[in-house]
Amino acid sequence: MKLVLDTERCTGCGICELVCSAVKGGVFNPKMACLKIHSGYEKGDLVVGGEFCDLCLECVETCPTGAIMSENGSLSVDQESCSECGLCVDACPYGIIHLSSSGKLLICDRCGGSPECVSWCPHEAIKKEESAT
Amino acid sequence: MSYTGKVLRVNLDTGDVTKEPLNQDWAEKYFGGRGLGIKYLYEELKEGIDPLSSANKLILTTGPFTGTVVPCSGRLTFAAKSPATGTMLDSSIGGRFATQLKFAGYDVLIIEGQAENPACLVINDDRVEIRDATYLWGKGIFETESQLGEELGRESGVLSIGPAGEKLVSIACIGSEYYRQAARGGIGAVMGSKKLKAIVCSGSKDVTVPDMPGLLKLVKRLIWEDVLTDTNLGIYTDGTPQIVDMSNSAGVLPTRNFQDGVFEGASKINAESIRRLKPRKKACPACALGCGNYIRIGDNAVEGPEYETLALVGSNCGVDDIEAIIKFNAECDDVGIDTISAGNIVGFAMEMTERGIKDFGIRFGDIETYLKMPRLIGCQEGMGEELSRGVRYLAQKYGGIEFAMETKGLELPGYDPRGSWSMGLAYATANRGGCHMGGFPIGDEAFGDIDPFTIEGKAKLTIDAQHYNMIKFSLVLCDFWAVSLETMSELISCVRGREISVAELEKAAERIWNIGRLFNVREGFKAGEDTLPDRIFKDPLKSGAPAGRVLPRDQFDAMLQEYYQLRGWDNNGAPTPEKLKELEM
Repeated sequence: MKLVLDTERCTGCGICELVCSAVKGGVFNPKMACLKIHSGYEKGDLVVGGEFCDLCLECVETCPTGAIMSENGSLSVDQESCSECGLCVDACPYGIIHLSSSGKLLICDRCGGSPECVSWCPHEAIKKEESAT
Repeated sequence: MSYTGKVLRVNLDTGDVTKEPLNQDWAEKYFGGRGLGIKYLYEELKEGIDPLSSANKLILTTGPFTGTVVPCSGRLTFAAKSPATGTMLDSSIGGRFATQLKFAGYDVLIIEGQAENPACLVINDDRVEIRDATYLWGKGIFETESQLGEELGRESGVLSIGPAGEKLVSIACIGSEYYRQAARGGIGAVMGSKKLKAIVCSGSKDVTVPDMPGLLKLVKRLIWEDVLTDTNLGIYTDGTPQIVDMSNSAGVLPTRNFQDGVFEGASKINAESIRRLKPRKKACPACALGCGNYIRIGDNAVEGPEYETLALVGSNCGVDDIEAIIKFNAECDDVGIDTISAGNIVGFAMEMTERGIKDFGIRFGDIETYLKMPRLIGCQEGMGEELSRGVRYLAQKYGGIEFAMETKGLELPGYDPRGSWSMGLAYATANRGGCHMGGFPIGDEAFGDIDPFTIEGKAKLTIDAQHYNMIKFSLVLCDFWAVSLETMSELISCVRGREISVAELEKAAERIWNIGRLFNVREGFKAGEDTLPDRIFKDPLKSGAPAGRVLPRDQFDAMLQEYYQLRGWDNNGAPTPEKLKELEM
C-alpha cells in the first residue's frame, strides 16, 4: 500500500503527524511521526509536500536482527527482536523511522491496513493506493 | 498533564534566562491563554508603569490543549500593558509558534526588560540564546521571517515585528508565518520597546495526556460530528469574508467612517469576490477547519483579507476595489500595523478632510493616496507620523471628537453598535478597549433572532457572550469553532484527568473577566470610560434595518447599570469585595 498526498487539499494542519505519534508512540510529537508534512511559505509561495514510507526497504536491508519485515505491501516490526541499535533510523532516507523514549521502534506499518493518517485527515488529502502486485 | 509545568523567563536587561515551575494554582483557576496571561500580568506588573518602558512585560501563553490533537488548539496568546490604551492587553495569533513553544517544553514565556541592541531570541528545546539582530532592524516582517527561516529552519515558529513595532507605533502588530498577526492594542510596540525584533522557537519534546486512547476517541468523534459541520465549514470554504454580506444586510457594516451601515460596494468585497481570486487554504496546527485564504496578486500576498480588514480598510474608507484592499492589507502586514486601527485612522482622516476640519489630503475612495498610508503610518513618515498616534489623539488635537470611533483609545471593529445594541455594550465594557473579541453577542442578536434595537436582556446576553469567549480563549480554542461549553468541559476533563464541570468553567470565565477588570481599575479606569463614541449616541444611521437609529444614551446608560449590577460591581464599575470572595480571587 502506498500513501500519497494531494497537495492542493492539504491545509498543513498536521493532524496526521500528531495522530501518528499518538497511536504509535503514545505521545504527541510531530517529530516522532512516521510521515512528514511540510506546509509553509517560501519566497512568497505556499509550498506543500509530504514524505511517506515508499517501501524503499533501506531499513529492512540495514536491520542486523531481521526485526523489520516487508510483506503484503507494508512494513512490520517485531519489537522483541529489535535491538534498538538505531541503524534503521539513520538509514531511512525520509527520517520517518524513530525510536521512542521507551525504546519502541516506530515505523510505518500502515496501521495494519487502515492508516490512521488517512482516516483522520479532515480534507481527504492523504489517500492510500493499493500497489499493483 | 498536558502542561509542561515550566515557565521560561528571559530578562533582556541582564540577559538572564531562567526556567521556573508553572504556578499550578493559577493554571487550575485560569487554565492558559488569555486567563493565565492576564493573571501573570496582574501579579507581576506594578501599577502605573509606562507600557513602553523596561517595566512592562511581554507574556506569551499556550493552553492545556496546545500540542495535542484537540481541534483548533494551535493559537498563541500575548499579554502586556497596552501602549495604545493603558489597559490590560491580550492579543492572540495563529501559526505554529505556540505548538513549537510547547514542544520545546514551555507553557509560558515571559520577556522582561529591554535589550541594549536589537535582539532575536532563539529557543531550541533547552537551549535559549539572545542573539544580535542589528542586521534585521528596519526590515519588514516578510523579509525578517524569510531570512530567519533560511538561517534557523523553516519548520521553526517565528514571531517578528516590522518598522512600526521598532518605532513604537501604538497600532503596531506582531506577525507570524508572514500573514498572521497579533494585531490589536500595540502589542508590536511592546516588543519593539524591548528592542526584540524576533523570537524563533523549535521544539522536539513530547506532549503527554493522562488518557491517550480516551482523548483520541473523543477528538475523532468531535472532528467529524462537531467541527466539520455545515455551520463551521463556512470558515473553511469562505473564512471570515462571509460576514460582509451578513453585516451589510443587518445594516452594521462600517461605511465611510461609520457614517452609514450599508455599503453600495459590498458585493465587490464579499466572500464571493474573494472566492473568484481562488485562494489556497492554510490551517494552524491541529485545526481541522483551516480558515486561511492564501491569495497572491502580483507582488502582494495575504492570508485574507479577513472580514475586519474588508470592513475597516474597505467600506469604512469607501473603497470597493478588492485588489486595492489586498495591497493595503499586505502593506500593513509587512510594515507591521493592525488593519482595524489603520482603516479607522484613514477613514477618520478622510472624513476630517471632507468636512474641512483638517486637510489630511485624503478623501473617501481616493485609492492612490490610500495605498500610501500603511507605509507612511507604519514608518511614521510625512503625515503618517501624526496619523500613527491613533484616532483619539487626532480628534483631541484637530477636532472631530464626535466621530472619533474609539473606546478607551482603541479603534472600533466592524460592527456598528447602532444596529446591534448588545455589541455597543460589549465594546464599552471590553477590557482592552473597543474590541469584538471580548464578547460577540451580535452573533445571537443582529445576526441571530434577537431584536437588536432594545436593551432588554442585553446585559445578560453580553455577559454570557463575554464568559463564553473567556473560557474558550483561556483553554486556547479558536474563535471559529462554535464549540459548546459542554464539549469544552468534556475535553478539559479528559486532558486534566478529573471532572471539570460546565459550572466550574463558567466560574473560571467570570474570574478571568474580573482579573482583567481589576487590572484596569488598578490603573485608574472608571465607569465613565465604559462608553462609546458620540456618533453612536447622536448620529442616526442612514440605511437598511437600522436607518434612523442611534443607540440612545439613556438606554445605553441603563444597559450599563444593569450590566454592573449583574456583574456584582459597584457604580464605578469596580468588582466588589463580595464578588471577589465568591470567585476565590
